[in-house]
Amino acid sequence: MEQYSYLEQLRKKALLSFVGMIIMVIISILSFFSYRSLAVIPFFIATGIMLFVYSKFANDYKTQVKYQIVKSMLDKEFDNIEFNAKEGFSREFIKDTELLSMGNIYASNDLLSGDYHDVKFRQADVHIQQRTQNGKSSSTVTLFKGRYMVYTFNKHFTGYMQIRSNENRLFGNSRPLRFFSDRPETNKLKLENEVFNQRFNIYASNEHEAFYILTPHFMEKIMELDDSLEGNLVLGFIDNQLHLALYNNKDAFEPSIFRAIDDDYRQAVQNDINLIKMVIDELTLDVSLYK
Amino acid sequence: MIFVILGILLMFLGSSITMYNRFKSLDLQAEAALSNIDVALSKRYDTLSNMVEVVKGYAKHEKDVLVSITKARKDSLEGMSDADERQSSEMRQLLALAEAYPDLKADTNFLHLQKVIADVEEHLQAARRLYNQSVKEFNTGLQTFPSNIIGSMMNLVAKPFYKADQQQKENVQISM
Repeated sequence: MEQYSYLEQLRKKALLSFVGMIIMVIISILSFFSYRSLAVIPFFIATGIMLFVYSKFANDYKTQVKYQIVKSMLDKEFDNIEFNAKEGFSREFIKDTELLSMGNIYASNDLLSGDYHDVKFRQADVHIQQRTQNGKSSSTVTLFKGRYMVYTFNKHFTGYMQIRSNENRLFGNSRPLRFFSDRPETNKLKLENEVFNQRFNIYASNEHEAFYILTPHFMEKIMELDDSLEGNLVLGFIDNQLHLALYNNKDAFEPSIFRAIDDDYRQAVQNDINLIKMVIDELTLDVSLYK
Repeated sequence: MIFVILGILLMFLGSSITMYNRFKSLDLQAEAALSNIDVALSKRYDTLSNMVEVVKGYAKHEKDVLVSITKARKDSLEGMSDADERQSSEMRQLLALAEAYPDLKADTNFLHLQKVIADVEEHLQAARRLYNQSVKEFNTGLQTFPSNIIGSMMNLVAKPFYKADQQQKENVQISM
């Protein structure tokens, strides 16, 4: 209970600073149009300070919620949990997988690692954007926003394979361009499951390994997983690991400063946790028959 | 006019080369898959032979019922398919026999061999499927226009599918 009142205090601080910031923004805009002189500079400085204060308080609150609420929920579900709300996957790590198009703005946080049914996993939120400058104007396009998960895979393989869902190709699920790649050359592959071929594009460096990994049963499971997920799915089979990138435009475990911690938030966190478990359960990654 | 004819000729040449390369690559892919089937059959033979030795230690009084494992034959597709079918049947016999010996099922060596055989089965199934998929694409190319023209110019003939009985298709279930 004490924990909740402490978090609630932090939330109210963040909320107050947000209100203060909004008031300062309004005052600055009004004074700019009223005076149109250097006299408005102090207002803009005050707005900048309020913005800084707000982002600090909001970050403090969100971080504390993640360490106190989310971490305890994770500990109940998984073994050997390590959670760092401020760290994420490095840009180089994601770039090296060649699964996602890399823009010029990259951010990642909520790095989490642990075990579930003896399957090791890591996951983080990843946000990739491309900002282009066009004369005086600039535009920012989101290339990826969602969860990136890495699991140890239960079969041994040496090649490289990626599976990309075919839907919403317009929204950025096309294969990234390969320049100076260290990864082996891949070929587009067709499997005997026509429905799977229609729903996914498969690129593999080793045809035999692709068929070895993608058994008829496993293909069905991937389709079931894709059906149950919202967003665009990219799977990578790299260095004996399964990489899963889900572009769902969401930030996992993220609390809002506008709402106190309640059952809805806990349920949202539980859903984010369930996604990690669902991949292992659905794809039966915990079956250690082959290693 | 001459440019139009030249353009059509170039297009024809380009698509002919693409179709020729496609036939060649499917042919190579089928050959590689066949070779992988052979590798997997040989590995299955070795593993099953080792399993027989382990089983012998426990089922001393059943030497006459212990199965002898068919060696993989690379001489022809039918030979391989035949050996594959026999091995599958022998493996089922062996695993059924092992069921009667709880100590054997707990033997670490036997458990390890079961893991190996499960993995070999996965590789074997993958190789069979890849071979049949390559043959399907190859044969479809030979029967559809315009690739059938290139196919007949290359004197290509339809390839036989790798036949597997229903039990093989479902793969032998290894439980531990």
